[in-house]
Amino acid sequence: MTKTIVRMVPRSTQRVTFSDYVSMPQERLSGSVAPDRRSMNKAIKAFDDRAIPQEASPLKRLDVQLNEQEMAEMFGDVAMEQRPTRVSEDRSISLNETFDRPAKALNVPEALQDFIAFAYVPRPVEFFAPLPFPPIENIYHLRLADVRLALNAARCHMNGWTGKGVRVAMADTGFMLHPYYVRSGLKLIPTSSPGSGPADEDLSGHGTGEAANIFAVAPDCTVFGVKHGSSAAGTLETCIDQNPDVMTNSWGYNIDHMTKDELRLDDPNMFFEVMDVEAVIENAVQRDIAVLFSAGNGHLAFPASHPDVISVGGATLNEDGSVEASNYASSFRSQLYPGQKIPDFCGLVGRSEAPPQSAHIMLPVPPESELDGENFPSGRSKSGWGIFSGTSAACPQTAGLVALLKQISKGLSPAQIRQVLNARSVDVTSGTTATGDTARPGHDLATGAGIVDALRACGFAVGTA
Amino acid sequence: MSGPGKRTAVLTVRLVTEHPNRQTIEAVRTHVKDFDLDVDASTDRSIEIRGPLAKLERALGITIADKGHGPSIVEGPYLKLAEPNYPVTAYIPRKPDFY
Repeated sequence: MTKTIVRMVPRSTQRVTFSDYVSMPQERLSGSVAPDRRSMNKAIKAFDDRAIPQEASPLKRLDVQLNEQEMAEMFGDVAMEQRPTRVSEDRSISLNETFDRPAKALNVPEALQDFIAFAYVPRPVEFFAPLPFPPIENIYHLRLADVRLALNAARCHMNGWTGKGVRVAMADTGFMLHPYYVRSGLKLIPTSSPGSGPADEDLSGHGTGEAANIFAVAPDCTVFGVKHGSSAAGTLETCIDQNPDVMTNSWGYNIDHMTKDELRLDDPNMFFEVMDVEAVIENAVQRDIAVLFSAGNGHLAFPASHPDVISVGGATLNEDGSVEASNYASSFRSQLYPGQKIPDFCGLVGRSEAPPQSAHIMLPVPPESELDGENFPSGRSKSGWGIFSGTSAACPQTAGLVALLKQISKGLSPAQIRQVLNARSVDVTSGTTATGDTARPGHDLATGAGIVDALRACGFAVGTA
Repeated sequence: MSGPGKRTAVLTVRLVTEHPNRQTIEAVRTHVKDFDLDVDASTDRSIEIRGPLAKLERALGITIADKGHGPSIVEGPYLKLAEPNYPVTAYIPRKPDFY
């Protein structure tokens, strides 16, 4: 049976009436609401005698749980009505969509009036939501509209290539339905994986923020935001269960500095995890799902190095419009998979300064998450935005581009997608990565084929579709 | 009431068969029922078991130790399952880095 929590406010020593509160001078008011200890004790005993569960608050209020019959006995025939919790869909966040409240004020029964001043049903609080618009911060950075332009996706959108009908799965730290997503009409579906907890809870802000990079390039795709659970392999399996065309992953393990045989001896537990994750990735690719991973931010990252994976590194768009290899992004030759070079190509990533670290893109995050206010010179917090990047941003940008390609030609295999992007990326010829490789004219270890270009890639795909 | 010092660490062990094998996975699920452990998820080739370290060790015939990389399975699993079953490997999943 549903129980209603009713908050009982015991009488104060001053015996003020409800109407006294209105006329009482402010300086007396605070003292007047402190309940009398004797009233509190009497109230506790009264509900104990009726075997009604109760909990005293530090402010000496008493929350009692009443079922329908007890509500009727105590307050008479009080009709409950269901009310929406939120006033505005995108200006507040609440734990429940609706709450029950009595249609009229509760009258304290005579038997309790000696020690209970008044009673009411508490209304669930609303948390004020962040703005859908990013704040102004005095530091060079890109907004999501700039990402769209920089990767040459705006003209794709004008041609109708927006990712419509394409399903993208992204595994990350959680995905809050930020007002930016809601008001923009973007299709982000938070999805739990085994052991993950609520998918829309994102204490880090990483998943919520980085997912915006997909939509910057492919605004009409559907993104399943799969929250990481108890295992990476289980999380990837949940991604596959969403039947996606593309999987984007801004995470990994910094272990590709040894061969598989060495890993087996050094850390057998991790070796088995690698084997397991490999099998899941191979299963995805066999289903023609394009699987993308971030190359790492100075890490030697697995699974980015897996031969079936499309690996994405980083290039920085400078204030003067020039592009160079990011000194925050990884590039390396795999030890786990001899012959593999990482990355295949690049998306947009900031530079490593001291500080700020890789402050490059203004992204939406849950207020008070770890990345809320990240790299803001103003020190502003709780805005629900942060400026950050990393190959975590580059990978979902590229996944957005793959979504455009999949819209144009659903039958493109992961290998063909890699070929298209290799052929149509824009060469990056300067800059040195976090792992010490310098970009030069032509294909190089630092940036692979260069920075991805949506219009060039889509034009190529249309020509071959 | 249990204080902070008495909190028992809960771990996840992921068991994987060499090839998809629903029969083995179901056998593992049946086996762990007697040990009051949580089964988090399963597919045709994997199953995740969650619970306190000592209980996991007893149920799955594994030894867990930290040799510098965090909790790891250093021996086992030794599972007495009904035949025929393919080999089962087990590991404790690690949290990845987010870039």
